[in-house]
Amino acid sequence: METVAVFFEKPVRTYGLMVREGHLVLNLECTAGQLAGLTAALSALEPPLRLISCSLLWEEELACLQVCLPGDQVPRLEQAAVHAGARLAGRGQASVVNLQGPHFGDRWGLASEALDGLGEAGVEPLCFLGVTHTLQLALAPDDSQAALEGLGERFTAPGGVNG
Amino acid sequence: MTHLRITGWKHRRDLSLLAFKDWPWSGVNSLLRALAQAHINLPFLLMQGGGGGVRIRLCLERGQRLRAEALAGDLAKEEGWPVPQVTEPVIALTFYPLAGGMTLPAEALACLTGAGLRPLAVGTSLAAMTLILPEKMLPAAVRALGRRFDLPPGGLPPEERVSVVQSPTPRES
Repeated sequence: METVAVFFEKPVRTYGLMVREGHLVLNLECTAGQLAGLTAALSALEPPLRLISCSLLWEEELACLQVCLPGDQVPRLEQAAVHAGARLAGRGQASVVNLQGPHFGDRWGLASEALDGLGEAGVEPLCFLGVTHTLQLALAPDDSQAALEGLGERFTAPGGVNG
Repeated sequence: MTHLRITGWKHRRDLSLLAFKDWPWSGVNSLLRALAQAHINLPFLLMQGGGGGVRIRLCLERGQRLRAEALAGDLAKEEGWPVPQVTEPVIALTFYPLAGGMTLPAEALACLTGAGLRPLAVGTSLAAMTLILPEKMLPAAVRALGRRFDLPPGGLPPEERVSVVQSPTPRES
């Protein structure tokens, strides 16, 4: 086992901060059987759907699938979802922010820093994912600028946004 | 049918999954702050907002579960929020590349659900996809994925071999 020692530093240094704007986020709900049908249909699509982000969790027997993708990809996803019997629980514009950094998945406190930054900016994300080297947030487009300012108080990126 | 190529995969084991529902974002902030103050790392954290509140799935090392559960329980009791549900042991299985498309998550989920396996949570980052699975499901999951993916040799994904020790003393830059 390799051990790496790092400091907790404020602001937190990142490799980069990326913002992808002008996309749509769809919230789908389906049973396990419907999910099997939906994912089989999506995997057969040609050309494949372009994807910004995707997450899934379960509430009891219901899969809650959140997919963010470019707007021109949405009709094919909606068509597959309807065919599989999935319920469209929500649909809206979204921007996605990614913070990449060293050992982000192995260091305590980073998600808290990000949420505190958002909270001080008065922003509640649509979705938040912290995994491997990434913190990833889906935001309502109107919240993007405030979110970046809030995150900028707590994280630094060497080239700035999308630098 | 051509198998899909992945360039790498790995897993992290001996984790606990805590599932929360209907917490407000302010409560989520309080929870994450408390976990940070207790130096509890979250190798996987997924939060979906919604009308009824936030749905949270967080993973942490099993040895820290009791402490995290107590911190969350205290907040839940104070504010009247639902207490978390615990599943353990679980693993985080990560593979890549995502390549900006739906192919990897759709194929992986189709393989697993087609075999009757249900990942507890899934998230994609810029380059990779991570599945949270019950630990005992790993061999069956690998068999199911192997029907569609050209998996690296060795049978099971390698275990992550990096441990990060983070000094609790902030270094002001």
